[in-house]
Amino acid sequence: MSTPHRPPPGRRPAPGRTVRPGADAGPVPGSRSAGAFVPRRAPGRRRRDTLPVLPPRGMRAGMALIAIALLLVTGKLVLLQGVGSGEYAEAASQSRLRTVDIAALRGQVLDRDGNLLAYTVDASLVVADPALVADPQRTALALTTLLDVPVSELTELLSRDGRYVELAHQVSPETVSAIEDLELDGVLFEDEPMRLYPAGFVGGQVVGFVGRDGAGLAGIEQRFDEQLSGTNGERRVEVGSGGNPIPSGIDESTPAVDGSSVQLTLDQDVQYVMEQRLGEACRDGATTRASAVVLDVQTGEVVAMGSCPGYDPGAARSTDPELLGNPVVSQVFEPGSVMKAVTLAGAIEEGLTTPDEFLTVPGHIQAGDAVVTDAHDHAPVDWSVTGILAKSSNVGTIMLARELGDERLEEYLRAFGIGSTTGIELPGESAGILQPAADWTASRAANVPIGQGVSVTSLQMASAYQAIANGGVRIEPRLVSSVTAADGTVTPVERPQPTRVISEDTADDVAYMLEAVVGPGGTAPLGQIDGFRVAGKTGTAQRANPECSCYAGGGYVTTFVGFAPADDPQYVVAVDLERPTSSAEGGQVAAPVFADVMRYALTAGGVVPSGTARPEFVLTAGD
Amino acid sequence: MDPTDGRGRRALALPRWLDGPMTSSHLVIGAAGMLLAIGLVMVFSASAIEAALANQPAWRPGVEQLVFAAIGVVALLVAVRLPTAVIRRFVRPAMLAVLVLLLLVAIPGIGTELNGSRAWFDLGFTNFQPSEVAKLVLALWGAHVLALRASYLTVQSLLVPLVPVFLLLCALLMLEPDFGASVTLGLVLCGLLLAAGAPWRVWAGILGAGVAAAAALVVVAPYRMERLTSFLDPEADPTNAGFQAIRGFYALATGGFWGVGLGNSAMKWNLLPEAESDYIFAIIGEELGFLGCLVVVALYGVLAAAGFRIAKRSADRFVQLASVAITVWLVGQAAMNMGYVVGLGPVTGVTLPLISAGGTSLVLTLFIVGLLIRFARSEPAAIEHLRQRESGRLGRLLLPVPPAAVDPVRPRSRRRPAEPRTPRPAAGARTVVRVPPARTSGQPRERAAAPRERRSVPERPRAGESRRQPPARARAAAPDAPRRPR
Repeated sequence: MSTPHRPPPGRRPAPGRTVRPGADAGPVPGSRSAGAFVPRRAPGRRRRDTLPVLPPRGMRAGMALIAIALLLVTGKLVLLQGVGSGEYAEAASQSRLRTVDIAALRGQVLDRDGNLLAYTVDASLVVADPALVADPQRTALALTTLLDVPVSELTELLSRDGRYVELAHQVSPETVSAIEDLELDGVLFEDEPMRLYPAGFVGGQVVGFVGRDGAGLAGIEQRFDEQLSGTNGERRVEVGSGGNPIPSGIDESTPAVDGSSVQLTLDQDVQYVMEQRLGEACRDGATTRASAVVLDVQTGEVVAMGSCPGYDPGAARSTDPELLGNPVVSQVFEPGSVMKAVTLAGAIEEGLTTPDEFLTVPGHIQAGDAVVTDAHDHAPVDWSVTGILAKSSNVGTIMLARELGDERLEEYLRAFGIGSTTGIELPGESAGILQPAADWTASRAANVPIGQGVSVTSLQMASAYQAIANGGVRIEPRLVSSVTAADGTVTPVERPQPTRVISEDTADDVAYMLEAVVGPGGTAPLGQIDGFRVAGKTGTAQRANPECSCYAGGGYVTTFVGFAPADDPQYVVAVDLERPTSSAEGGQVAAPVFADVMRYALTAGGVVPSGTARPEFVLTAGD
Repeated sequence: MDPTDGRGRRALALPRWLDGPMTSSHLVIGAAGMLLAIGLVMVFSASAIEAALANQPAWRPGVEQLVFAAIGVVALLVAVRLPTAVIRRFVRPAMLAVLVLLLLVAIPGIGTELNGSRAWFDLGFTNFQPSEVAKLVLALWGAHVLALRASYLTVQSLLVPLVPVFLLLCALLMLEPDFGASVTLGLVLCGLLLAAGAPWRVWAGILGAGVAAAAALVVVAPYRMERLTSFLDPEADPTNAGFQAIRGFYALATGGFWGVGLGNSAMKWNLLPEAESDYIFAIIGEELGFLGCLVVVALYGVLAAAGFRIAKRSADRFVQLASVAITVWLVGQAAMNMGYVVGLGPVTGVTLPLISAGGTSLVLTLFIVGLLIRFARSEPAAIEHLRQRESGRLGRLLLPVPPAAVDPVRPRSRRRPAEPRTPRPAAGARTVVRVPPARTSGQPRERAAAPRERRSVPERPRAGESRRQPPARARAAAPDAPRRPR
């Protein structure tokens, strides 16, 4: 061994270290307490390989090693905390950062008086992280009654491998706090606001409904989804294990902007009565679908709109998807005789005739390859134009329409809104079907004036009569009166431009003639309302059989469209009933529905009863 | 003093005002005290959130640590009053007791298993970890055995009782299994070998044996390979093996230079496992920043310097060996802990002495600090200084002046009173560093003695006085020697 710091042998011996005075040679075996101290070698003998205790070089090496170790730690600290800290610090805060959506409260849908049709309340989605659930069976037992989910289902969900399972949707805040009190590991909550429809079926087809994710899927909910949904906010927060927010950490939030409220022109009361009445009609055994629209004459606003069978938006998920539409705007039918008012309005406007002019009307008329008859074939009879309308004479109307000509007839139809959408704020509106006059065959040209071979929606029909009732000025129907932002800013919706369709005199003449329909000798005495003068028109159209695309076996669509009071029109009501198995006429089945709905609308609207009596009409020459 | 003495190391020498007779003692008290204070604050900070999240009082782990610190300070005061002779008389039975305890703790039903290691006795109020005691006893027993044979130490006599006992202790520790404790025990062994001046071939052999042992452990249980090497690239397996390491880096990096402020750590929110024990250094780095870490590292450096200073200045071979072993152990363990927290070594699970939470460990570490203080105050220069200074009653009670720089060791048992001791004056079990002859006789002798003095005798002018005194044995033999009343 080499110990250079030891004094070289040639110099002075180092007695304490290398040479031990003593007489004994060799160790003393066995004796521990004393033997260790016994010199093992004769004095003067030198052991050359003894070790230097506490060698300075060794000590320095030891201290240097410790210093190097501590300096290495310091150097690595400089790298970690100084030079390269940014990347790790960024990764650290990212690993702790959680972004939580703050759900914006969806706006309300209100009727014209501010009654709630749809609104949103706080609710939660209960989710779980199965990795944190120690005992799925116990957790499931604790949750089953609160969440109303079977134990077996919960146990299965909580035992899965993933990190995220949804246990229950739209749980009320009370239930959430009850679950929080249980302090179950791994059970978490997310905002999932719940949409409520307090009116239920009433106005359901208009209001529409939202999907599970809160997006509007039908009606106003779909059309005004952007305004209603608002903007979600978010909270960025640093969390520790278990999602606990760290007080000293990042906590930024962008507040949510709640959705705007949409106020409708609907009157919930009229809507309710109308739906009740339609429901009654639907239960008569022959009616498969009944639709009705109530319009305000002066403004074109929709006061009520609906059909049966309807649906409850709150239960939309469990409703037959076939029913989740709004037939009033999306389902088309051939309107039948109610179209005659439009044809006659055109003829009078063009000066081709007057309400009191008498025409000799035969019982049938040749139209191309077909023969059109009146409801009951009859010998030629002298009817006034009013009589033609009141008796709903197909032949008389076709005679006048031929005077008018196909092109002008089409112009008038289009002017009254037939064949184009009204632009109402509802999704899925149909434009109806109206071929250009140039394409009409001779039979089609005879059918269109009497409302066959042309398809309309209930709303289009009501809108056409609104123009007649409003002195010839048509205003497209609208459903939304204003949109109110969460901060209270009211944005009125754009009003459609009124358009004059016919002159006021013509409109008055047509209104006068329509009053005869419900009068003596007319087709719809059942459409009368006590105290009010009613103008309207029945329709009994052959319904196309969807199974064969022909009229055979299709039954009838019976309609009644009218307005009241006839001397100062306030409301237009259009009713149409789809009756595939019955041949009853509009005056018998649709007119009573019209009368009931109109009566309530007038009463609820505070409309003063007519001060004058219905004029006497001369329908047949010689009466 | 001799001008040649300090010539080679003047650059590294302490300034004069810091190189007093009591410096060692003050450095130990200061460094250990500050580390303890930092530890108590940081344990409180790092554990409060986890305790609160576990529905316990937030102050509970902190207060528990405070209670253990109080017990530890009592142990420290006991150690300060403990004469080395008493320690040395009891190290052999203590070693036997430790062997028995380690055997017992590995028996299922007696030892309590925590974190897959059966290393604790459940005492009811706390858990007791015999492996901590084993390290201390190995250090003291080894120092005693080596001190006895210091004058004729050969490689064989250096290794033979020491290494087999070490291997036996290691085998018992691996029964638990407690890998971290074995590594720390190895540090104690290294300290003893370093102090005993082991030659290079011994170090090479130890290095080879260590590598062989590690390889054997990996072959026996391949999962250890992952633990040993994952520190090289913690990102390779960030969710499992490298999880704790990466979270530790996150904490340190978030702290940056200044730290996020005391109590503001984010990683202690149950994100960093063992935040209050193994990984407390990361929390220090996060809350107190690089500056806080630097203070801790520097304090361990000061502790190391003080330990080596004690060894250099002491007159007792046992004290020299024991203080080097203790210092290497404490500071080495701290360096290992800090090393794996910053990603320089494998995560062995050794704690940061004086700082990490842990009852037995803290009490024992404070006892060891007490021993170091005792050793520091037993430096001949310190005794000289203390004797000349008048101290109050409380001071005498708490920090008594050691009666002698070199305590004689008497046999523990008096079963053999007939042992003829008087005829053999050289046979006393006393391991005094070679005291040079009195220098009053003349200059030439003093010059001649100079090279030897450098080894172990302090180079202070004051020390000369202590050297002029008769050997301690002589003083002990003379009952009329001036002594403070005890």
